[in-house]
Amino acid sequence: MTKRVLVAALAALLLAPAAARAASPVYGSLELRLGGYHPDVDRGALTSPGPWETVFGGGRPLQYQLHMAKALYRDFGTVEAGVGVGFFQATGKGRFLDGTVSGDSTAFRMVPTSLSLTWRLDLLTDRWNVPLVPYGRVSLERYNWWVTGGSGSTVKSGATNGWSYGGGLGLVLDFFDQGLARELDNDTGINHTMAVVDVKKTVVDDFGSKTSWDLSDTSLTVSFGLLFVF
Amino acid sequence: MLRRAALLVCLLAPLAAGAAASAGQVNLSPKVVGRTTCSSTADADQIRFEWSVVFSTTTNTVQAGDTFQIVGSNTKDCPKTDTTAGILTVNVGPSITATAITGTYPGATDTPIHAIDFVNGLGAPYACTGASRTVYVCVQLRRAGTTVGSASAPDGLLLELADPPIPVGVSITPGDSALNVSWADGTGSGLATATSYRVVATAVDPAKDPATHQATTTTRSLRLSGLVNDVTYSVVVFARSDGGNESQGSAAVQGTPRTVEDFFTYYKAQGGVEEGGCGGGPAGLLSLAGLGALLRAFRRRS
Repeated sequence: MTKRVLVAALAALLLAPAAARAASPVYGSLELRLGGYHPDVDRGALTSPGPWETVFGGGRPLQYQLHMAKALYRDFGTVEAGVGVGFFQATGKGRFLDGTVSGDSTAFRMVPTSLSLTWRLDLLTDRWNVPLVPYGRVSLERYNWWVTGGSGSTVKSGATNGWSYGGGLGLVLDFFDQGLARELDNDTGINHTMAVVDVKKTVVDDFGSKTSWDLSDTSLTVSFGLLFVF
Repeated sequence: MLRRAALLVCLLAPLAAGAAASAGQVNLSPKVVGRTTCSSTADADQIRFEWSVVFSTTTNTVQAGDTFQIVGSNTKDCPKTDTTAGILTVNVGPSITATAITGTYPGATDTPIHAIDFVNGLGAPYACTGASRTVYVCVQLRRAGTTVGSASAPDGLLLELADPPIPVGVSITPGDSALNVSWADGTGSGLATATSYRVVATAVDPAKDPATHQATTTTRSLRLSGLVNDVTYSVVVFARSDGGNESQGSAAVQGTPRTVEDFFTYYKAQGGVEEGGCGGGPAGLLSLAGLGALLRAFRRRS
């Protein structure tokens, strides 16, 4: 019984006349995402645990990301060129020379920036009313970072370059309230609002430089957020 | 019937609120004076008054001969039945227009008023020692011996004469040329509230560091920097109240700053290879500026 209800609900969702409305022109998109991140600084470390895990622990602090893109091509899906910026920080305690924990704080802070190319398969939504939008993305990444010591001042700063590839899936929220979606489009020009899950593999080690640490994520970077197509 | 009553309440509530808001008010600066300030006649310890008087009569204009009177009282809103005499009378100056009912004191040539003036004016129950107490301060517009308008300071002037409690539980964690000090508020009855703290560190062996290091904070922890590594310091914490009263020092605790490796130094000490990257410094800034320019161009086109 429950299964039939679910099938009926899904069918109703898919057959909803979303494409019937006249949408405003599409210029690009704005994306806000949040996800955990753990740089692979300890890769090749002489000790275990390595310096990152010793000072900051083994967790995945949150990384905030904002991505803006301009639509370049719209036919078989949408191709966008975009820029991204974010913020990440990990905080811990400095170490005495004997390796024991001190009372001084130390932090690693980072503003990741990116130039990206995205292909979003939104024709599934526009032509067949499927409320799911898969996408793929490749990016050039530049992670601007700085480390602070106990007094709060910066002790070292730099930037590490690399690239990333990945993709994601957007759930078009317009399908849940099409009237509201139409009003939003009329009032603000936002064509679609999506909840997105983004998965990417990062390779950020100055392209294999021997004098650079590895800021690639230790695992796939999974993040969640909202995407506005306008 | 019930609905009509509710409607009436809704209609009258704003009027009542307006009436409350129209009460004359006196702003004092400072609102709290400590034990030392209370008995001081130094210029820095004078009290400034700013008021907006509301008329109590239908004649709502200032007339020639009207005077403002600043009154200290032991009763809230300085009622007329209070036997307390006005301690100062300020004449309405020629610069005040016929409709002006606001004022400030002292002006450039006025004689300053200090907390001790209220204490002396209010007599025996008041002093700058013993328990803390409040002097209620009002400004009255006087005409031919009667009060035709008034304003009052909502919380009066607090003569804060008690000390805050002595900080307890002082603990120290060494840092790099610094000590991270934390503590808790002590307890006790009749004491003032601690609103800030002073932390003082002196070297146990003054020959190694003759300076006295101190810093203040409004929280219950502090990183006292500027110390010398491997020198042992004795640290004492004092609590301060709003009025500036300072408690006796806490029990002294010793701590020794030591060299601390921040994350990057520790990473390098563990064999890390990072040198700062090709984009460090100006190049990094340039790349961020480029990103900003791209965003700007994007916004302009769309």
